[in-house]
This record gives sequence, structure tokens and C-alpha cells, in this order.
Amino acid sequence: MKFTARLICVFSVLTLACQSLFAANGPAAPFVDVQSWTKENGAKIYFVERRSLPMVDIAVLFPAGAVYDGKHQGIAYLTNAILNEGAGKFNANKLADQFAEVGAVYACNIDRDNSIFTLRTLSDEKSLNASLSTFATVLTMPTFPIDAIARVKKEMDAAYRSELQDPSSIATNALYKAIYRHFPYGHNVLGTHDSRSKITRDDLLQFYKNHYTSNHAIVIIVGDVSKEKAKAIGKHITDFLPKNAALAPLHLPTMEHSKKEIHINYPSLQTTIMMGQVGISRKDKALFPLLVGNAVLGGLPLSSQLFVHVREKNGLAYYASSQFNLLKYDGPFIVSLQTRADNATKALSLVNSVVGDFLKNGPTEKQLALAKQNLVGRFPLEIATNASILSFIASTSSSVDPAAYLNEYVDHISSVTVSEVKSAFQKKVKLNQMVTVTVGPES
Amino acid sequence: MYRLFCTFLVMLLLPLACFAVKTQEFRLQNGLKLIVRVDKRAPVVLFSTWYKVGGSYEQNGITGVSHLLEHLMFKGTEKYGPGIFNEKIANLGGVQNAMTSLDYTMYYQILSSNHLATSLELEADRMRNLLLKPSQFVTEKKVVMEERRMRIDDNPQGLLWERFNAAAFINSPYHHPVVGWMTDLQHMTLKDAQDWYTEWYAPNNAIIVVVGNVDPDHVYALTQRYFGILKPSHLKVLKPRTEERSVGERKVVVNVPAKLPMLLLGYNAPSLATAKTVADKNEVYALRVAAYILGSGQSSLLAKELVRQQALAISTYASYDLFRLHQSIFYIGAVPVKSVSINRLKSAILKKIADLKKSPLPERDLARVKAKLVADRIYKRDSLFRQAMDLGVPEVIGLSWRDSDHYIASINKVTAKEVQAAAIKYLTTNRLTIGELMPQRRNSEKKS
Repeated sequence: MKFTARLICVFSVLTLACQSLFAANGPAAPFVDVQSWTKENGAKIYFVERRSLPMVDIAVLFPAGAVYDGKHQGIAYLTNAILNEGAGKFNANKLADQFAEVGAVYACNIDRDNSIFTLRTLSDEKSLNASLSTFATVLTMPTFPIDAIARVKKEMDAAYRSELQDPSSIATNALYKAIYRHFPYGHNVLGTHDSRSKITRDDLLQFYKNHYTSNHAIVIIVGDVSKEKAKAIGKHITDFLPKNAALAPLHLPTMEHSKKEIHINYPSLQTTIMMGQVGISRKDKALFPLLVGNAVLGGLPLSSQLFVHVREKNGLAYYASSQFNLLKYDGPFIVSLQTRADNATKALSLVNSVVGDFLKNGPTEKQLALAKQNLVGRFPLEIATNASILSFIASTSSSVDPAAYLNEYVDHISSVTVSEVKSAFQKKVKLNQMVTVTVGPES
Repeated sequence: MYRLFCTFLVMLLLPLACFAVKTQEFRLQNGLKLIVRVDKRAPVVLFSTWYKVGGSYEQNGITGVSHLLEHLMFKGTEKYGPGIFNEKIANLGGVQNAMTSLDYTMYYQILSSNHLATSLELEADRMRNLLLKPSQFVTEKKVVMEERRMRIDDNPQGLLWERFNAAAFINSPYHHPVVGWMTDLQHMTLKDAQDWYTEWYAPNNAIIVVVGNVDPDHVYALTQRYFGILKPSHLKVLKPRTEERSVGERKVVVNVPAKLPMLLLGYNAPSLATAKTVADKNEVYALRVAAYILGSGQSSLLAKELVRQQALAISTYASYDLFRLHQSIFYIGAVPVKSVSINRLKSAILKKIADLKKSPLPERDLARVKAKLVADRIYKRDSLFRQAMDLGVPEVIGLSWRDSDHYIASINKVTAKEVQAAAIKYLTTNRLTIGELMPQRRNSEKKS
């Protein structure tokens, strides 16, 4: 969603979900029937027919994330945010009303790889046609109003300042910058005040023409429509997109050569600790050993090694985890936790030793079996709802074939061995080449 | 246009009859209530256990005990040692969490439906057989204090919400934060937690809500099998915590290191539990419509006028939670644009509230709210969790799970004149609390 919608945290002093976020030894792996086709205009469409609820979820992805900012840092974010500020003959208020009148929900999101637009709508003819028409107008006929551009830039300024009062965001930004010094994953997705102020309306139009093209678009449709209708939806959304711009290829990032430690002073009671390095994409040959191994190390929400050692046994943190962020051009591997400031040194030392042990010895057979059991057992949950299927396809489709990935996932996970995990981690994760960022009081 | 719209809404409602959901209610002899909703879309089930105890049951000196107890519930029973609960669920590929709110504590697991019995066994076991050991207590207390630091002490907006509620609620137990005041956490003893557990964790103080691919009779049989042997407790009868009437505007300022100012407004207002008569409840629904119109989504009045037209706010927010045990509050929040003062933003918001009182809203504004709720009723069914919340929340505040559906029907009946009347009655200066987050320039050293 636009960052601005998050600026007021609907604060849960009232309701605390206490265990960490998440996060059957049963019948054969469940199968999802993902139909797909490529349109003449080059757009890829993925469709899962689900008739049990009268609703449809649509996601449209463009390779228009922050990695493509070039010298206009922040332009990807701004383009994503500006589309529903004016399109066709409608202003932002009218567009918002048109969605609301049929109870449809529009959202836009940006990350370092992709620009993503989603629509949730009822599937009766009237609602679907109305919401789809507005959605397609937003994507294909944006008007980039000058006053809206100025206003969204101010929202980005505020979003940037909001990050400055959140130790986690400060740490994340510093970590990405240090890990990806020479690769465009390193900069803040919001850009800087300076870079934003230089972005003109023409720049936005150009970025849109280069990146929001039919031949790079991915459309995902999940819900209560026929294949025929899904084809019509794909056509409606992509036919009037700009056409056929080539994307400049990007070379993959390389690892830093030596360990680095960065401390940022911040007047908090806790110290935020993040350790990281260049990781992998979903295309990596060692993907599944690394995913399963990471589950053991720091991925399983309540039973990973990091959770058990840092929180359960020592009470040092509310959360402690590790993750491979599977971005297209080798996103980072990150270990993160927050601990009382005077425990920071102790916690960091503990984390280093847990990770070090894991790299040296790998998981035990039992740990591996349990992690696989968890990942395989969870899979039915991950494809149980329209929203989760949409999300699964959206997060995979820009790197791999989502249908194959989805339906082979359980087999791949199940066949991972201890020696594969050990060798993959030793090859990939290098404690002596990691960046460690701490944000907190001076140590 | 409006008539066409109404017909359209009616057309939307008709197909819903075909997708009617099956929900059944059971009760065990020991007082435990079971609610089962069938959802056969996938071979999964959500099993949730709700205890009628939360932040609002606590008093100064012991705030945070419900939430701490929630953490301790994972520390093991006589039968299953520490960490075993998490392991068992993880090994089945389950997803789980727990939450402590003002009026309830809730534990849930989402699993493949063939593993349902595991949830029942584990929850029945820890309902009565929790083992509280001193070393685990000490460790978990530390974890909770870290959680407090993360959510509130190191989070300027979190601090604003905490101090705002403390000012807006005069004597209501919604005054204090669910995580507890730090001093109460520091002085919490194992005995405090033990006593709280013994007092409130009983089958006759609990409700089980199950949503998923199950057969209700089978679930009832399993519940009888695992929970039937548990004896009810003699429950403490809580003294009423009736909020004093508001007699004037309140203000709280939070001066802490921060980068963004923020403004919060709140009007003390009834909840569905405190609104006794049908007329009172109708007022509550009408006020709820006002909150939707002011603050819900990109077509809300505040987004349209304060964010886009007048460019005074970066973002805006409005909410009003009807499903509360005690009197509730109508919140409005906003972050000002950089050059705009908090006072100017506040005036603009107050002007919008004055407009609500001056003349009835156009019908199309209400029609949008209704369209949203009609659609949302369907969207919710794509989530086991949202359905479980819909069923459980009304129950733990003394209403019925059916009230979630009555809610939609009642909102649909609200008229523009009723919204205006509710605004006049409840959005008054005497009921108002104002909260301001004023970023303080950071010193190089943090003061404790």
C-alpha cells in the first residue's frame, strides 16, 4: 500500500499478538490448477479458477521496482503511487468513489523488483465490470496530475521521516546500503529529498512508458470467473498498456570482501541488530537446501535455533530470526533481532555463535526432518485461500514459472538432505564477509 | 442514482443466500461453549480458544498480567514440557499465534483438518495443567519487557496511543495498556500469574471457535472428550467499571524524540455492550457509519478533503470499535503535512465534525459504506481468521456470534439523519480528548 496509509499505525496497545508472526503428514501434495497463457501483446496471464466464493482477486506486476530507479532515486515508488491520483477523465476522488461504490478494494505496492497493483472485487457482473473498468483505466490511462505529484512527494518526505523514528527501518536501510554498495538494491526505495525534488512529470511519463509495458506485464487472476472471462480480463487490462520497451539488463551484485560493522546512534531502550550479505534469487540451484536450512536456523517462527537460543533460553529478545529475501537479482540473507541495549554485545555474540555452529555442523537429521515436516505440512495452508494463492503466484512469477514451482514445491522440500544444506550454507553464507548494523545507544 | 443503487444493493444480497454459511453452537455441562462454522474450501481448520480475561480485567499494580500469562501458557504443562507445544504444532505444519486484547485472551492454531484433535488435546491440557516455574517466569518477563520497549517505549506513535488512552479514559480499565506499565511488569511475581491463571482459566470462562473443513458433530464429540472432564470454577464477579461521564475536554502531549508529529482525537462513546436499549444501539450503529464515512479508505471524507483537496494531512484515520465490554471511543488520527501546524490540522478536522452535525450527509456517502460492508461480508469468508474473530469477539463481551451479522443488517438501516443526530449527541467537546505527538530534538545522550 502507499506508505502514507501506514503512517498512522493502528496501534495494538489493545491487542498484542504475542508469539512471533509466521508464519500434514497427510495425503499426497495438494495440487493447484494454475492455467497460463501469453497474450499477443506479450503479457503473461496466470489464472486459478475458484468458484466457492463470489469474489475475484487480481494482481498486476510490472518490472518497475526501485532497482530500476537509475539516477532518479524514488521514481519507481512515485510512479506506482501516482497512477490512481488521476486517470482517464477522473480525478483521485472519483476513482476512489468508483471502487468504493461496488465495494472493490484497490491497492498499490512497490518493492525493489516489482510494482504491484491489486484489485479485490465481487464477481457479479455489475461489480466486476465496474471495478475492472476503473482498474484498467488507472493502469492504462494515468494522467500524472502536477498537484498530485507535488503532494505525493511530500508524502514520501513524511514516509522517509517516519523511517527515521523507527530503529528497524534505520537498520534495514543501512544494511541494504552496505551490502549493495555497487548495485541498485542499495538505496532507499523512497530516494532522497534531493533526488525526489528533481523528478519531473516528463521523467515519470518516461519511466511509465519504459516499464509499464504489456510485454513485461504479469496478470494473476484468482476466483469466481470462467477461463473465458479471465481471458477478457487479461485483455482489458493489458491491451492499452505501452508496448515493447526493452529493459536494460542488470549484472548481479557481488559480495563484499570483508566483514563490516556499522553502528548508528539512536536514543532507544533497545538495540536493533541486523547482520547480512548478498543472498540468492528463487532461480538459485541451491534454493531448497537453503530454504529448509534457514527454517532450522532462524526461519521457523517458534522453534528455530535463533528463536530457541536468543529468546526461549535467554530472554534476550522478543524476536530473533533469519531470512533469505528472494529478490530477482539476489536479495539479501539477513539475521535480525532487537534486544535491551545493555545486552547487545551478549546477544550479538550469541547470534554469531549460533550461526557459526550451524555453518560448521549443519542441521542434525532430526532438525532437518522437523523443518521439512513443517514446511510440507504448512503447504496446504498456503494455498487454502484466494488471497494466499494470489500471493504465492505473485511472489514467484517474476523469477520462475509459478505453476511448476507451486506444484513441485513439496517434492523439492522433501528431498533436501543434511549434506546438501551444509554444503549450500558453507558455500553461500560467509560470517567473515557479513555486514553487521547496530542501531541504538552508544555502546 | 440512489434508487438505482439501492436496487443494486438488493441484487447483491440475493446471491448471498446461496452462499449461506453453516454455524452451530454447543455447550458442555461444565459451561464451555463451542461454536463451529463449516468452511469446506480447503482441508484446513482454525481452532481457537478464547478466555474472557484481558487488560480490562486488571487494576493498577497488576497491569500486564493477562498478557504475561499468555506468554507463560507456552511454557509447558505437567504432560508437555516447555517448547513442546510449539514443536508439536510446527511439526504438523501448523501455524499458530495468541493474542491478548482489552477484553479477551485468545489462542489459535491453523492446521490440516486431520490434525484437529492435537489442538484440542493441547488446549484442554494447558487450560488447567499449566506449570509455572520460577526460571521460566523470569525469562518470559524479560521477553515481555523487550516487547514493551519495542512496541511502546521506542515507538513514538505507540507512546502517543498509550498516553492518549490514559487521558481519554478517566476511570475505565481501558485506561492502561494491555502490555502493562513497566513498573507493574518489573514487580510482577509468579504468584500474581498463578493466581490469575487459577482465577480465569476455566471451561466456564472460555469459548472455543472452530472454522474450517470439519463436521460440527464430530468437533462437539472431540470437545466433549478432551474438555468434558475439566471442572468449572467459581468465577469472580467483576465489579462494574462504569466510565465516569466526561465533563470537559482533555489534552495530552507527548514530547519525545521523533521525526513526525501526529494528532489524535477521541470522543467517549458507548459500545454495543454498554448500549442497553434498541434506541441506544441504533445510535451506536449510526455513529459507526460516521466513522466509516470520515475515515474508511481512499473515498473517505478525511482522505478526500484533508489529504487531497486541502493538502493539510499526509494521512488520516478514523475508527470506532463497537465490540467492547466497556464504553468505547471514536478515534480520529492524522499526520500533518510538513509546513502545517497541529493546530491548523486540528481545526480542519473539527470543522469536518461540525459539518457532520450541521446537515445530513448525501445518500451516496451512506451507500458507499453499505456497499463496502456487503462486499466485505464475502471477502471475510476467504479468511478463516477473520471468520473466527467475527464469531468470537461478540461472544467474549457478552453478546452473540450472530451479532456480527446483525451488525451489517443494522448498519444498512442507518439513515443520514440518524448519523447527524449521533454526531450531535456524541461528537461533543465535553467528550473530546486531544493527543499531540510533538517531536523533540534529539540530544546525543538518551535520558532514562
